[in-house]
Amino acid sequence: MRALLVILCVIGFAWGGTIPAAADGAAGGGDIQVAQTLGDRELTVIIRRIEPVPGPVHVDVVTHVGSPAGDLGLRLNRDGGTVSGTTVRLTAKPGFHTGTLRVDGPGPWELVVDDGQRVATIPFVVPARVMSPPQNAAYGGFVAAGVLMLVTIAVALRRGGAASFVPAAGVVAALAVAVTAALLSSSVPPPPAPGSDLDPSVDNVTDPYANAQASTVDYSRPPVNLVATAVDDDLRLALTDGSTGRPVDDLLVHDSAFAHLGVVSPSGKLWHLHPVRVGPGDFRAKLVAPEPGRYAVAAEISRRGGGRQLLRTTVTLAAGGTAAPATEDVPLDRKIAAAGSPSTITARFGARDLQPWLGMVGHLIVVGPVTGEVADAPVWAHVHAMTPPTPELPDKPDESVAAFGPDVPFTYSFPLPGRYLVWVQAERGYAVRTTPAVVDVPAAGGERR
Amino acid sequence: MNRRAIVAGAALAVVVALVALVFRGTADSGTTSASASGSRYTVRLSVDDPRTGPNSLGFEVTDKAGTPVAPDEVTVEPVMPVMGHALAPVTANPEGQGRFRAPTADLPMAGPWQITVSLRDASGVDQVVLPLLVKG
Amino acid sequence: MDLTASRASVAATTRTVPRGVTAASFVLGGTVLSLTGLTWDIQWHSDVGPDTFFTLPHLLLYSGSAFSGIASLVVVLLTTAAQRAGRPVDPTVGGRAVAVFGRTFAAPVGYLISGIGAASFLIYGLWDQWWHGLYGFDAVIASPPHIGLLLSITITMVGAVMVFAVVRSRTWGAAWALISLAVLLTFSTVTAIGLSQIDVGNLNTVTIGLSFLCVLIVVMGARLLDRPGGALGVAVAVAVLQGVYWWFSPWATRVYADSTGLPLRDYVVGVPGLPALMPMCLLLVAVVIEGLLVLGRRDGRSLKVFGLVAGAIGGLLVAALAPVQNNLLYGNGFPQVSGIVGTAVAGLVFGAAGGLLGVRFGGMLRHLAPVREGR
Repeated sequence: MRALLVILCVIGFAWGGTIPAAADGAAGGGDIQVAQTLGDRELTVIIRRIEPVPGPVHVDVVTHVGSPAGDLGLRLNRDGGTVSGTTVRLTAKPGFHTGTLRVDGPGPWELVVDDGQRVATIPFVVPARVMSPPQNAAYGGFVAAGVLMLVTIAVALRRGGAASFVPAAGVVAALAVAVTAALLSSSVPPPPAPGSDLDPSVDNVTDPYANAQASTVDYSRPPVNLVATAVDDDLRLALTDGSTGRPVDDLLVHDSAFAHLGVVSPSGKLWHLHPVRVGPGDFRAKLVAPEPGRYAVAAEISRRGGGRQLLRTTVTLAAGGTAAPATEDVPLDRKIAAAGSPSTITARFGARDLQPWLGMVGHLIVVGPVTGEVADAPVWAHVHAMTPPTPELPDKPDESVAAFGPDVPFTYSFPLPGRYLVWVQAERGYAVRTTPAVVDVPAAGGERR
Repeated sequence: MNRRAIVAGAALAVVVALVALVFRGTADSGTTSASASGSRYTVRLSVDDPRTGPNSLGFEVTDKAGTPVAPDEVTVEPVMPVMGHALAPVTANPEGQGRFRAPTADLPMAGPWQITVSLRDASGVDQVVLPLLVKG
Repeated sequence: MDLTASRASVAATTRTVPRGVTAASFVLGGTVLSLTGLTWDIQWHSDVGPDTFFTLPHLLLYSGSAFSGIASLVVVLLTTAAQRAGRPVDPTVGGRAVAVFGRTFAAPVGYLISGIGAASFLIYGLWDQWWHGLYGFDAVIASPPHIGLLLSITITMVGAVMVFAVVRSRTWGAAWALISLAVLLTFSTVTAIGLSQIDVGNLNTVTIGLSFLCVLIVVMGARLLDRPGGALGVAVAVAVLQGVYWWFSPWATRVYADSTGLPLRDYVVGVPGLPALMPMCLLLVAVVIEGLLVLGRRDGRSLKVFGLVAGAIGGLLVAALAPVQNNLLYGNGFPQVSGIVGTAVAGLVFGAAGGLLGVRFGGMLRHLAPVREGR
């Protein structure tokens, strides 16, 4: 009986020290939100959390004001072949349109969005439910203990004596393994994530622990070259690796898009677009220039392995139309400090009904100081006003939540004195509202330019 | 009595073996393989025990329907993306039945590689990119 | 399975009594650990949510079974070893050797059952893991492997009841037997949730199952002791458990969520899940059953009649008062009248069956023991 006491005390002691629980409930992955400028439509494509696998995939397509009605083909491709497809009928009324597709296994997948004229592909990873080695050891230990317990009882009943102490010792050993593994599990680092750290393959998605130890520590990749050209009605972005010259086909979704493209016309009109991927390193967004001249182009991207980069270039466009992006006149409250010190611009939208756009309540685009051509402005910035955290939701609220505002503050330290063009953007009623403004930033030391 | 002990020990061994089988973590199978499709071809790459240094890369080329086909030329361009290091392309030797082999492709570093395979035929070049993890 | 007590010989020495207590209390302690883990786990899922295998509540559940299992195993081993060595086996340890499938094994039946229950729990974990691998961790409580896990713990708890039933002649034995019945009853309320999968019109199958289980176990307590206090003792112990868990499960969930940095959901109602499910009218039911037992004895009625009547009334009370309790706690009104009446009637019928079975099971428990009592 003393032996029993000792064993039980050891087990009790083993997990008496409170465990920092590893409650990583989001192991199955969350929603994937990707903004897509597909032709005349500015869409938000939301791939809802996929579980179980194989199983259905719910895709929400959010349209915005001015988006024409029509059919949108959705297809799921794996390994170059189409596995499932559906058609979503987009109405002229902006909002959510849902389609259901199907995946037949974990690994790298592509969602193809086809409006009949342009075909966009969204690469994403369907995660597998993965058991970590300690988790397996804990389960295995408990199961072995259970089996051995039965064996012990059986042996003890049939024959008794010393023979039954062999499986009994096994029970204790198995339990020790299980409890130790359960305790250690929380301190085992997760393996590098296929998709965000490594190029995904079916193998490493299914078993990310297989080669976890053989991988490098720093996954970041070289910077990217951006070449912008006009192709038909589209602005084409060619992205190539800064070290190898190969097409860059490993963009991650960050702030709900593969690339955040800002284009400013010579007269100071802003387009904030989200080019669609049409091939490796080939991203396109429809842009019909209302005026000829040199346009400033800036793309924010993030490559696999982490780190964001801002790619800036210019492109000379010929006038192809007359339509300029719509603007509004939302009152701005300005507290402009000298260059290098934080300035705050607060947009007063008047009502608490703003929707998050690209996961943020508001965006402020800053270009300047402008002395000659806008395209030559040295500073380009993209400032965010965050959505307040909603603790019970692991995923950020999508555009169906119209509950933010009314005031949207942005704080930014203008690096240089001079005249800046700024645009405040926020979404209301499924329309992105853009308010342009000009800000004069004084030089430090009270000297005003 | 002794027999009993043996039986119990055997039972224990069987249980341990079963559990080990069920929960077998990540035994190395030795051969690494990956497959990907371009617009016309599907390529399956298999490498026995990829290590730093020269490796023998085998490719099985099929059309989209899965029938083995042989394009005119298959070239292999390894890139170590994290390092920003690209290697000179090597041409793979045809072995018949849609099989090609680059017998001494140099992969000079451990870590994740991208193997770009260019398949040239009369109608142009099709490219696929395959991930390959090289051990030290 | 034919359970027959072999001939009794009262040979309890002063030395063996504490030995029986130690092992038995480890078995019961293990089941209480499991119960605590379960009530905590249920609260965790409703208030916080994310689930992996490695949460403290899960570890409590598993360790509880490991505790009970090891304790049972040790007793079985010691008993069989003693038997082989020709030493006298203490009959107050888990009951006497039993004949299973026509063959007599020198093993205390209570520990045998609790050990098998614990082992099957640990083995069911494998199925559960496979199930979660298929359907994800959002699986419901009423999944087949979960019910298997719950029933395995129930078996262990039944073993604990048997272990204590054999020492009911002593005051501590009787008290612990009633407490282990209370643990069994508390735990069974969770298993009853599985009945929600059965769809019978607007009847509340969970409530019906609860009335059956409550009556069954309370009547078992009454019959096991066969003197006033059995039913009431179980009900009081259940009430104490209910009170403790009412405080414990939200508190532990909050503390654990804080320590892991996970936020509580914003719609936490503040009513603990498992304790709120347990019928609060159980004390009333127990008083009624005690009264009926006294009346029945006075009038010389058979136990069968007592079981039927007490069960029917108890079942009716539990089933009819469940909507009242729900409305009191959650304030979301009453279901349809036809549903309430139908559930109450079903509760009465199942309660009667539960009462009858309770008398029988109580008798079986009494049979286990080599104990001669005053009457």
